[in-house]
Amino acid sequence: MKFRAFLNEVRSSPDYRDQVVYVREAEGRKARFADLQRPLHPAVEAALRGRGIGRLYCHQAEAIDRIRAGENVLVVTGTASGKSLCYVVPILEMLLSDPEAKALLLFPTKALSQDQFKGFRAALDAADMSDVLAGVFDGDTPSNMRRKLRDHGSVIFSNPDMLHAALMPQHGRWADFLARLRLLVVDEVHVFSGIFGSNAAHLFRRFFRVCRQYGSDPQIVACSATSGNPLELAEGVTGKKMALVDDDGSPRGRRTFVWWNPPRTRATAWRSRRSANVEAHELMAMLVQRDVPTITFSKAKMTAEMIHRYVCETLRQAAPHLVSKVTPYRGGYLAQERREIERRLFNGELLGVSTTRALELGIDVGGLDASILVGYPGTLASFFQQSGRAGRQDRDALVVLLGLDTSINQYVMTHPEYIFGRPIEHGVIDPDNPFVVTGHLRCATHELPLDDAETATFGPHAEMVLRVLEGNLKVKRIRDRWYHAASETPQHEVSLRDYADANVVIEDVDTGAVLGEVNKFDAPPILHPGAIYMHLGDTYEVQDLDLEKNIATVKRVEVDYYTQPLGGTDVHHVDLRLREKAFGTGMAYWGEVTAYFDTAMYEKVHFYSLDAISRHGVELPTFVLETMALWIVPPEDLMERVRQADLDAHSGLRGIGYATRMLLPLFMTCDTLDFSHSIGSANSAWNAIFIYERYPHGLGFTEKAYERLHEVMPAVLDNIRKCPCEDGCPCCVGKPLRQYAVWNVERGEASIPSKASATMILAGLLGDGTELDKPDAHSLTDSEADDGLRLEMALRRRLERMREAQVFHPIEPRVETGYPDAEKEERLSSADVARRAERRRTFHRELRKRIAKSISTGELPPHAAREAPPPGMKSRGSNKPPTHFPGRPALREEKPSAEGEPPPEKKPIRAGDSLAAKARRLRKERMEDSDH
Amino acid sequence: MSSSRDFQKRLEALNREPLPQRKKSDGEMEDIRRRIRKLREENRPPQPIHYSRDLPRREPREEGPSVPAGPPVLLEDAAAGVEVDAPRGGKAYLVTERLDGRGQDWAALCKTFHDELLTQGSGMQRRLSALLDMDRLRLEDVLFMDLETTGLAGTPLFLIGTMVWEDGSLTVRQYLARDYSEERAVISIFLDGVAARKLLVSFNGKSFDLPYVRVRAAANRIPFAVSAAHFDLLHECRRVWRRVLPDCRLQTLESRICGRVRHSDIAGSEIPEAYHAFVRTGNAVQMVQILEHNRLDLATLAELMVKLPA
Repeated sequence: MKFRAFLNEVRSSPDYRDQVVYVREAEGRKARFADLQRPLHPAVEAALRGRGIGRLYCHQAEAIDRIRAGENVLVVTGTASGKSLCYVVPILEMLLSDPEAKALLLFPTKALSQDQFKGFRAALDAADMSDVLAGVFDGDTPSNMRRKLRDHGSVIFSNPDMLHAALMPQHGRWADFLARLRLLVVDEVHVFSGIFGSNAAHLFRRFFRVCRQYGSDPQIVACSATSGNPLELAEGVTGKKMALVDDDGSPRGRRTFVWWNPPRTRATAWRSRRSANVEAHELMAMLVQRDVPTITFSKAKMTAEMIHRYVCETLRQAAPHLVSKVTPYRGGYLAQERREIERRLFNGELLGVSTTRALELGIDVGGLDASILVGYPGTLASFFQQSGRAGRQDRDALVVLLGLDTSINQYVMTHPEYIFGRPIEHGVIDPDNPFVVTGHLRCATHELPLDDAETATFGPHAEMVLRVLEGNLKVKRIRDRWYHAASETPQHEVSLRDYADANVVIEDVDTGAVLGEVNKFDAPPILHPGAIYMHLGDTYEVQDLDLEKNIATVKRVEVDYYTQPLGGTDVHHVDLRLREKAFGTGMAYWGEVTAYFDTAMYEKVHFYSLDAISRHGVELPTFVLETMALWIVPPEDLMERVRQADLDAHSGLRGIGYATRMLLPLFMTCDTLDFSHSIGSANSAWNAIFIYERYPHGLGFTEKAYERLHEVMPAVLDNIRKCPCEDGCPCCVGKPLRQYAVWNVERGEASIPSKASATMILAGLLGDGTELDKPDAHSLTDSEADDGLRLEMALRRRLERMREAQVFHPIEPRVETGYPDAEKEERLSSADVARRAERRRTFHRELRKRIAKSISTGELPPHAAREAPPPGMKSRGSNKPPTHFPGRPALREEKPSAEGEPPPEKKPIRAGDSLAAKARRLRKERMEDSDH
Repeated sequence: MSSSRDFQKRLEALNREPLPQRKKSDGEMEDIRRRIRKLREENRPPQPIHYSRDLPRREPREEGPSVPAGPPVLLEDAAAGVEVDAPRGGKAYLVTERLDGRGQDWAALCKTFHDELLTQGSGMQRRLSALLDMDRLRLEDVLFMDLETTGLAGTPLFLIGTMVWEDGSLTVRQYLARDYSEERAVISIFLDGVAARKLLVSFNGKSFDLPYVRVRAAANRIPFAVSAAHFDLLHECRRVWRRVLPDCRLQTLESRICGRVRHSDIAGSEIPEAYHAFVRTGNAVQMVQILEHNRLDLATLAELMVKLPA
């Protein structure tokens, strides 16, 4: 009710007139209850009563009945529908009937497990079961507590990463726990998608294998937010058959969705609206002053910090007593800081929190009433998670979506039905990717020797991968089993969340405190020297980024700007054309390419006004990615016609690339973020449209796309034609961002690809639509054996590139060791030599003095300095694209000959012969040569 | 270049006159270099020796994984032993050696050990009887143990060295897994051996060796039950020598208490890699070193036991 009044007030105020472009009121619904088949244990019932729960919602009753019957259960209901009760009750009952039984609960984030543990602790106390040892086992748990939990704990709250890196390598010490494990709870299953999901699928296979060894077969209870295919995903991840419970019986308050579009302040086509961050902070400050607990979601950590800063400054003027009641929260904070913020939020001590996706998952942050989303979060699942943070139980809630000044946001602003009338995205995993399997097979052999039947459960490539690993001296086959045969602990080298090798630690140079950690792939854009890193609202300038030691040093500075990286990704060259065919009037190819990601420069941007202050070059290493790509080359005469029609051909090609990428998820289970697109490369036609995968050697998406190109491309043309926009929007030909653009999109200095050009090229390429489904004119992968061989070679190359030495954090100072001193030059103490040297020194001193004097009197011209680089740039020529890549010294196109001649044999890679070793050997040889 | 200029300066200084400005022929230069080198070598102080294991181990390995040094040797040739069958299936390699066969010092150790433990009223005798809660300790009831593993945290172990009193001498019996699959046999033979004894003697075995065996037994699904009393020499030595010695590591005790220094011993940190290399190549060069290292560790246990003051 109060929100309606608030909205009316806002709408009638002259400052905010016409900003609310759409309001939707989602009606609340009544609760539906059901009884259990068998009544609850009296102690459990008392505990529920103690927490104010009288009756169970129908989905809770169904889930508990099924769990009691021994089924693996998946619960899929809305936010705040009491999902956790579905496993808390069975755990309590299990402990009451068998005090020796154990349960393991996995949550995707640390914050979530802390939060759920608090709830569970309360339930235990209420059920008079305080003697049960339960606790959180994560990276922040002190070691004595870890031991205690391991040896005596009954209920352990943890996360998949901890299971992977701490429990699995030492499963022998967990033998008692694992042998008595009865229940495994996996919460928020919908986040197990993409690379994380593929890794998690293997983790669970490994975990159940170890459980079998100790004679247990835990029952699984999984929970998931609404997604397109929750059951398929949960079964894929856990590898077990599950029963679905999705009849949501929880009540819901009236929820008001407001589409809030910042006003246009300029008549330009771009950058015409007020900053959404400014709008967001005003809105948040208004709500906080009205005592409405508010949460603001931004897409970037930086934005979350900025909004917090703005809100604080506003409140300092208007209501100083409220400044302490708002806080930022994001990933990268230290555990204690996060725990403290969560505690204050839960206890209602805070009125406002400015956050990123870090608070999106089901942390119970208590009674928040309003949720402000700065910009569309990208996926529907995220949108509903974030909006679900506001409004617990049957309280009314307000959700405000602020439109950023980008096309996709403006599209959502004008098309609310896009949000409310679309099926939610599907979660996708591909555990069979040999590059994902590699790490897990190393782990699996480390945990227990692997026999052939078990090997088969790791996918069709498992055996090939094991053979390659044997060549790399990581595993060894003895009789009929595979054994781990190296000294390292592979679990510590395999990351579940991404494919980067390590994290970069951010260290304050003044205090030595560690401020946070960032994935190595993400580090260059935000932690390059000169960047402004924001932490708890304070600004720090990055002094140095050391990618060898994986450490970034920052220094506290007070500045009035932030920095924005400018860079991009591109296909550099084609390594191998594996398949090619005529496609319409042009050609289509599929093969291996080398792409790269880099950050070429950055821009300093003023707070509030968002004026660009200056641009600076940065010199950072380029990240190289060997991956699979599909590329289409339209015929040259068509490009000529496009030019004659006075259209930008390049822009049109880019538009086609973008449109194809956006539509691919319709044809296969993948995400648009799994791809990038670019135009042309060093050794292909200038107008080749590349679509490439963002994982090493891909997840197989581009080959599927190549095979279904005759279905994909007509759909792309259709989509572009049918789009109602005038000349391009993010729904058809793309975003305005171009790679290496030295312009700032937020300020509108960019252009959307040309729709007319894209349509013309695509129509010309497809022709009459009859020549599309042609067989391969050429193929290097006609047999499965060849395909296996290619993957094997690729895998060998990747393993070779893996770093040998790993530096772990925190970095300790080097041990002082007694190296022998360098041999001293023998000095002769002859008197006249000493005198001569003294005289020489005096002479040079006098000479220097004389020169200095003559310069100051203008007799000699000062030393000619090099021409200074343009302001802000470190040196000239620092922003050229890289000319060579590590591991690929020579660029040559490996073109298969028409006679079907086998490709030139690659030199076999010697075992243990890494690139670093090769370099060392060369250096040594060179030194020996120079000695001679 | 600079060195030749320095050289010229030095010669000028020695001659007290500038050198003629002409290039020396190669032969002359070579001759001069040789003379200088000879002079230097005569005056050079002896260089201190730095062992590689004393240097920080952060740097990447120089050349790939280590390959056993020296000519290839078969295990059967290098360490005479027999293949033994484990009670629960599987085979392991047993290397037996009597300590008194090693030389006079060792025979003397056996004798001291025998006397110290059997003399009624000796300090050790009283201490152990109290621990075991029995009047007389039989020498056959004592079992020394020392593990060699492939890591510190739950990775497979490959060698369990035991030492028992047999036929008037301390006898070392080492159970070796010749590859990863024999670990199970090694553990089960060892556990059967322990079950037949009343006293287990180890160094830090209470917190390392025995828990390690328990974890590995669990991973191999072997029931673990050790009823023997456990005499941990680390705790005993700490109690006695904590304030006297810089630390109570076994090496320190061995050199300071037993007065023995090892030559050409393998460093503990190199053992896992050496074992992996042995499994990979079958070359037992380093295994000989490991077996000897383990044997000496066991002998030191016995010596410490007799040297412990009451």
